[in-house]
Amino acid sequence: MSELPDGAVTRLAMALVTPDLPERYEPLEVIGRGGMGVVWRALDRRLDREVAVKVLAEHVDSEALALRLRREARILARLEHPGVVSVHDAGTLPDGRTWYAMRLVRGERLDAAARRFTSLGEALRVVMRVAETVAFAHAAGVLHRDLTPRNVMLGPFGEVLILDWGVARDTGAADRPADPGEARPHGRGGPPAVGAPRGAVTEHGTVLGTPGYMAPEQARGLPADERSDVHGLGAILDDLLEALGRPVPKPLARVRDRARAPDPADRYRGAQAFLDDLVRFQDGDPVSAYREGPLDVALRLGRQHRTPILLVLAYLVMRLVLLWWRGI
Amino acid sequence: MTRFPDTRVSIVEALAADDPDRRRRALDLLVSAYRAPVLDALRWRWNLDEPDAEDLTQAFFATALEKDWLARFDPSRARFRTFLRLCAERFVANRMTAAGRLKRGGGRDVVPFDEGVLASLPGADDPTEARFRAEWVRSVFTLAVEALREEALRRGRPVHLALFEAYDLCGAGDGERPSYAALARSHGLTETQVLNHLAWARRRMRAHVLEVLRRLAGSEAEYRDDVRDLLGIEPS
Repeated sequence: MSELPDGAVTRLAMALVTPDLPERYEPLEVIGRGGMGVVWRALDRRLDREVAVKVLAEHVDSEALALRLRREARILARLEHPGVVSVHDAGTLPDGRTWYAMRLVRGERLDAAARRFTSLGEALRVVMRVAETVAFAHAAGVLHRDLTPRNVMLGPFGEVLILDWGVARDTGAADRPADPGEARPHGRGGPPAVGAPRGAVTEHGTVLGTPGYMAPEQARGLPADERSDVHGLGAILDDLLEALGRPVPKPLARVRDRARAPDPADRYRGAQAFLDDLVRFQDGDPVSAYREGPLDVALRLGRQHRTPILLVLAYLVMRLVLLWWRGI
Repeated sequence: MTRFPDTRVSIVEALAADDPDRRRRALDLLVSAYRAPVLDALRWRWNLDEPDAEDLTQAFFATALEKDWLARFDPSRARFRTFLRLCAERFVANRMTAAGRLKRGGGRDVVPFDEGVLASLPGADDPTEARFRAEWVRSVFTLAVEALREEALRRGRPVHLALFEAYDLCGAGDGERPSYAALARSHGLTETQVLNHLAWARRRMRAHVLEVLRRLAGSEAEYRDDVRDLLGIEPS
């Protein structure tokens, strides 16, 4: 029995832990693990670039989850938007596991980056970019259903990308097989998603989403719609405002509260409506979620037209001083 | 001594089995897996030349089995491979000391092998331990490749084996590794068939590595650690 040379040992050590991808992709290292899959940083030999390859986890022996990964790849491929990671390739490993290759996103997750935010404008810019992407997805008939700061990546050049579309739903797919147990509520008064893992899938009554972020109707196993994603957007906004640790302007607080309303009927009807209100707030216009009183109007106008008002006030003060001086 | 659950038995237990066949198989495995790492460790640690290191390695295994040293292994205190290396190093140290005393005309009062062997356990970043682990990995893979060769030939899959040897067991440089396309041409296959054949070989290789680890481990915990370490999976 001859000893293996160093090169063979190194290659074997790698071959034994890596998925059997087509030769085009050389797995380099694991960069993420979830309940459903493992994400590898890999080299695309053909184009000489690094990509991310998501492979169904080895221990996953569920056709439903394999189907979900395939659906995620299809959804990502369809959503061509700067806020969505683009898919390059997809396939099935010799052992039957599904995989797909996508753009390798480098950056920081929003839950970590938010701690360094110093201004309201910075936080709002991110939430608005997320809302833009969600509005685009809604227009394409796709619900994300798991919007959390952890699923948002901030790139080094200001990119804002929504990740993890593993539990997304294509509302337009007529032949879409239902998620197992989807839309089947838990027993009345039964436990919602509290304590369930992220993106948890239960055998009966699927609970999709992240506790603390998912909409109440999702937690109860009821069907999600655009307003469920609005709830997630509101939760992200709430997290960022809390991280800033400053008093929140009343109109903005109302926007957040409306997005997070427990009853879907009280929320914005979609991400675009939520985004529109944020844009109005940032432009100093009245938001639809908040009915202003006369004082609010005065304060808002004061903020909006600060420079001319200050100039007029300065002029009046000068006139008064002049009159007083002449009167002496 | 901790027994594995189910049918898993530690190598130490197998070495002490009543059944002589089982004992012999365990001994063969022990020597196959650890001869090269021990030899390398002794050469490196004591700067020995090859023949001296060979003699000492052989003497160590013979003495360890004769004096039943391995029965003193305590899985709660160290990995089996660490214990074995420390035993070997202590054995050589004793030999050196004894040889020095003889030269000086002293008696044969050799420091006995005792619990002191575990007095100073190395950390994971200890260079001697890291080197010993690397050699141990080589031995584990060598044993698993042998088992894979035997299986592939027995099951009539020489092409699978040839592809695996050409692609995963070739030299270190990337330039030496053939492409799937080249392998497909030389074996009259499609690239997809090459991928599938390689996947079969690797899947069986993983199974053989698991089997070697299971037979070599000193305890259940050690087995699980080794599986995580080498295969990156949670053992079932």
